[in-house]
Amino acid sequence: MTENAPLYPKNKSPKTLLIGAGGVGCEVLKNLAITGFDNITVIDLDHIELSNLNRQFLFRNKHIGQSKALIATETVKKMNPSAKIIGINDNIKSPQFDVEWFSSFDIVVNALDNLGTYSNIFHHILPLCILLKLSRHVNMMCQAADIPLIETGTAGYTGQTSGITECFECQPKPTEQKVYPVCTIRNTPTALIHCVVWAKDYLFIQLFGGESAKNKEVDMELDQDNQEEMAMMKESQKLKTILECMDSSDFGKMIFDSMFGNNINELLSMEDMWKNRTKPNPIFYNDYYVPNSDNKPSESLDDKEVLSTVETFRLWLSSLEKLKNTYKDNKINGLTFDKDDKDALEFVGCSANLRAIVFGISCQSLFQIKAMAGNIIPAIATTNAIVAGVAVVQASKIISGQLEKCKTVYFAYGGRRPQFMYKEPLLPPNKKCTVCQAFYYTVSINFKLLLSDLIALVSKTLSKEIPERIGEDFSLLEGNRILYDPDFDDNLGKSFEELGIKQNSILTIEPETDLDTVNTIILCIVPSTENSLEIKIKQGNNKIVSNQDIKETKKRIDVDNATNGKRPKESKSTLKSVDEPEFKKAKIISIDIPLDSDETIIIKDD
Amino acid sequence: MSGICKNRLMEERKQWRKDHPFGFYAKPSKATDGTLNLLEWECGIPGKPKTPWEGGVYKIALTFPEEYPTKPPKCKFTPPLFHPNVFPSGTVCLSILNEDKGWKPSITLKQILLGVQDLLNDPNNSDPAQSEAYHMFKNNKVAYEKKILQQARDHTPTD
Repeated sequence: MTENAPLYPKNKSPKTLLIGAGGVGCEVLKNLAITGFDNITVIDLDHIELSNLNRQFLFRNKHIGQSKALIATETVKKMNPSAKIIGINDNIKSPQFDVEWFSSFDIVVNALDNLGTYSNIFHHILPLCILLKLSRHVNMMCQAADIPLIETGTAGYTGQTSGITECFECQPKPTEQKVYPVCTIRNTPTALIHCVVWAKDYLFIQLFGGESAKNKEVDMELDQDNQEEMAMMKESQKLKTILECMDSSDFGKMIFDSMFGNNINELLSMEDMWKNRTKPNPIFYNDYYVPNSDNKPSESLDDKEVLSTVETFRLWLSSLEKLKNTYKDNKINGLTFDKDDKDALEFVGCSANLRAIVFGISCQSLFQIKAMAGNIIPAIATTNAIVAGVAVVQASKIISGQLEKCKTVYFAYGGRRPQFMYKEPLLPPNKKCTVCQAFYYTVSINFKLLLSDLIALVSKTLSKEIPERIGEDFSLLEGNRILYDPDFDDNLGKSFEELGIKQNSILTIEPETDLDTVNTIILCIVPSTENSLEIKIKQGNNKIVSNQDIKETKKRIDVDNATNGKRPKESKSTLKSVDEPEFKKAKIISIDIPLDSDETIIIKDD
Repeated sequence: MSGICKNRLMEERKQWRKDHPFGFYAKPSKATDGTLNLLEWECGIPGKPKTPWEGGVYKIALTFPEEYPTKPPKCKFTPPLFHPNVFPSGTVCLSILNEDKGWKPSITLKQILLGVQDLLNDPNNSDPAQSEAYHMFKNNKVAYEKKILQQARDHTPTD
């Protein structure tokens, strides 16, 4: 790219969709606007919080509580007043953002904040799995609308920007949150994290959780899954007895001896469990309690130091006492563990360390335990800036049609490699990926129609049109809900409305054929604008080369199934080919790093 | 749900429909809205012939995480079973179901259910999950077997 060459033809200002106005999003938006992208839509459902301000530079103190998308738009407009920037404060999964809406853009940049950051700051708002779902959703919508998608992501000190050639779902994603087997947490911990999970998800809840949390038998969250197991143990009966003595001065001793002494002896009684394991050593209150002294923790404890067992014992005792008093005022709702609550953290940290001592595991400082218990992955402004910079240069490359020599760019700190940024050849799509290798159709539906109408239509048209993909038998799903399959026709008489199918729903057809290739068919649902009842299927275009081609390569087959105001008794279909249907595999968009040369960027680590 | 997870579960369902071991059943459970939930399966495991477990069909719920098959499903007997490796809540403690031990993404639904069937009459006392069954199995085999026989009678399908 030479200095004077415009990024794109003047009359074809690319319409850009930016999803997320958080850490990476703010940087991307600013970069886009000052690089000359002057038609940007930014969407984010979050509101600005104090903890965002250290790295989301478009926001100031006075903005706390306001919409990220709107404030980011306002701030960036000042940097480039001529740019048309629209901020939307909404969820990208809302029904109105359907495939047709996505189709109106030329390029999409996904800057949903890194999963780890969310778990740190927003874990109470957006659990990780939902975020992963959002990214999957965006990926699928871009596949359906055939829009190039640039994915960004940061995790602590490492960041990644990849062009979607491989699509987001081609490879399994690393699982963000580890779930520990119950037996390990409950009986045989081997690492401190097991003790932290035990202290946080079992002990703390059993002692101070609300009545519902204590007795609940539902699998609400991963964390609670473990509680349920443990809550049902016999020992919780004993615990209940102890809890009734909460006002007794012996309460601390009773809990301590039960948790770290008697329960351990109970475990030891199951001898076979310890044949190939290191036996735990029970500890008791009187081992550490010094009579005729106040047994208070020293006042100058450093939370970055590993405490001695006696100090841990004393801090445990004092934090228990404090939590007990807080709990007394909140008995009905109980307390929830908050890593920023000093008493709660001290109690959980000390309990974890005491359990670690019992099981011969090394202890850690409270500061370290806070990171474990809070699942904290730091968010670094510099990383965000670098990732956003690379993402926008990639966007420029796509827009200017320079798609050759492309790599996925990683930014990694402290690896074995000497450089900070490195790139890998772009991988071709996974031939087995059920997302990017699928066939996409858009279906206009009047939601009063019945499921049987769609099934009939699919059988009569798609099965004939692409018999090699879809045989006689197929299943129809929405997410993890099976709506229909050859052995399950209970729902045929239900309307889409009744089945919860709405605008922007995504249905998948899984044929029963035994082909090796992926033969998934994805139906993107848009509402029918017609007054008459009809199902219209139009094939999505499965091909994209560059943005110039986006509009031209649209192929469509309209399958009209119109009847006048009545549900069709028989699906009569007409094929109206606008252009030759062409079944191309998923798009390939190439990305380069921000250098004209093929050199790797090396930043010296001083 | 990721494409990989859905695809795999659909494949499992297809394979199971084609062929499955005698006396077993496995199907996605029906949700309140009338659809089937691909992530929650209801299965039944028959006790092996010539063991005290014979005659019973033990109902077990398999819950697949979104990360399946990277992560194993959770298997839970409903109602909970008297067995050394079954937690009082019903959850099965078995190495092939443990992400850190024996779980491999290639393990099929059929293999899981057969594995749990094997476990029924061949408990692993080094990983006890309930102390009552553990102690009885270890110290009083006669009483243990009597209890298992009774449990098999309680789990005999009525139809």
